[in-house]
Amino acid sequence: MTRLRVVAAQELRDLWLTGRGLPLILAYAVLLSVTSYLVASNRALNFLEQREAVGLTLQVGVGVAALLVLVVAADAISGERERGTLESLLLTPAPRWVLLAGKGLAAMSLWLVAYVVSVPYVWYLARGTGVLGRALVAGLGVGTLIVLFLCSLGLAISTVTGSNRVALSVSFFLLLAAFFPTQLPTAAQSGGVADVLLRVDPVTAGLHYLSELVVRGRPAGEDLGWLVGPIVLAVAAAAAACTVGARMSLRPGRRA
Amino acid sequence: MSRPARAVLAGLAVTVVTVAPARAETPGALQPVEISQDTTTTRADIGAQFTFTTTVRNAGDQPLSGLVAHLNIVSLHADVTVDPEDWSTHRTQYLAAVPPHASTRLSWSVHAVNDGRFVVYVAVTTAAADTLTAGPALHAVVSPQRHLDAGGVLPVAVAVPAVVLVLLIAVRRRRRRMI
Repeated sequence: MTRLRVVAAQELRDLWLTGRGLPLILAYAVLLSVTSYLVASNRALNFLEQREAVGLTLQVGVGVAALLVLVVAADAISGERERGTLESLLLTPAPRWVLLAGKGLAAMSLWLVAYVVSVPYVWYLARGTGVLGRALVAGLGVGTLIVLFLCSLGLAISTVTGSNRVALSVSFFLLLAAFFPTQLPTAAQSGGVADVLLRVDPVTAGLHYLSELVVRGRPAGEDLGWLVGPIVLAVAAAAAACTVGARMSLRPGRRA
Repeated sequence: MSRPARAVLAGLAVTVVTVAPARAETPGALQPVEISQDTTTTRADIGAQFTFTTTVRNAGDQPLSGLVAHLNIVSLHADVTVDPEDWSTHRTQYLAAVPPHASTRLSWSVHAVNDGRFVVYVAVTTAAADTLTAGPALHAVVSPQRHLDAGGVLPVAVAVPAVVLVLLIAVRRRRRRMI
């Protein structure tokens, strides 16, 4: 545990003091500002009912934060390999899965900071609707599940790929694939296979649960079935990332 | 009329119709169907969902199969156009066979898209029927939407990125000093 703490602390310093953490969060804050201003001012978007505006902002917040975490996670090992710094990292007196878990914790910290940044926007949009509490709690819970899944996926891909470009490309492709069911026409979302697909995909299922809770005001326990897929896949992906991380090897990467 | 009285009347709101059984070989063979509804009035804010339940009862002596129930929305104001697709994504329900003197319940979820006064109703028919029959009218009053104050969100939209930017500059300066 001490080793994990030491590795995570080093990775957190790298991300937030010298790395891309704060610039990414700045871009995230600007995006949320534009989204919330448009939701509140634009006539076409203002067609949305106020709870829908809260739901939309939460979904954008979770979705973009998941993207940021995926970018950082996908760069974690393949980036070190490409920059020629993986060798010194592997000399750290700690099991390799601990190195990967430390990088994962640092990447997940991006989600926690993004969540804190999104709170003022959600607070403003949810005023007077009575959904602020449930929006914040559900946003944190569902967002953590989705982000844990994508972070683990990014770390696993980053470990097994030789180049950073491939790791990022594959991760983006899988992210798009995970968001694809959310874009299915409503008519295509009914039926046995479509229902299974929607429930298995952690991004779609998680965002659907959020929407039911915040927009339609359904009780928190009524749609818990939608969280089974995200929970199972998040845990499975984290376990798979640690397993793959334990076999991390020093392979020559292509220098940029 | 008071609300409880309306609710009682809503419970009693029953329309007796005749629909041809799907398996009837002659088009003239008709059987009575009764459609009732749990409410006939509702109020909603624009953007909100409301639900209601329709009960379709086979009042005849033969089983009824092939019944199709369809939801429709009518605006009572000439200047308000209704696109029913926006109001409900599942407007058609195909019923399982209804035994003689038995009934089946159908739940409908409706999204209040426009403000104004509307009538929502369910019609039932079969492939072999010459007519279709509508159930009781549900009078829906949808109140206008509350607009968000764009000016109010501006301080939040400016302050949050500004705080992050200040933090970023402070961290960068501290790092330069340390180097």
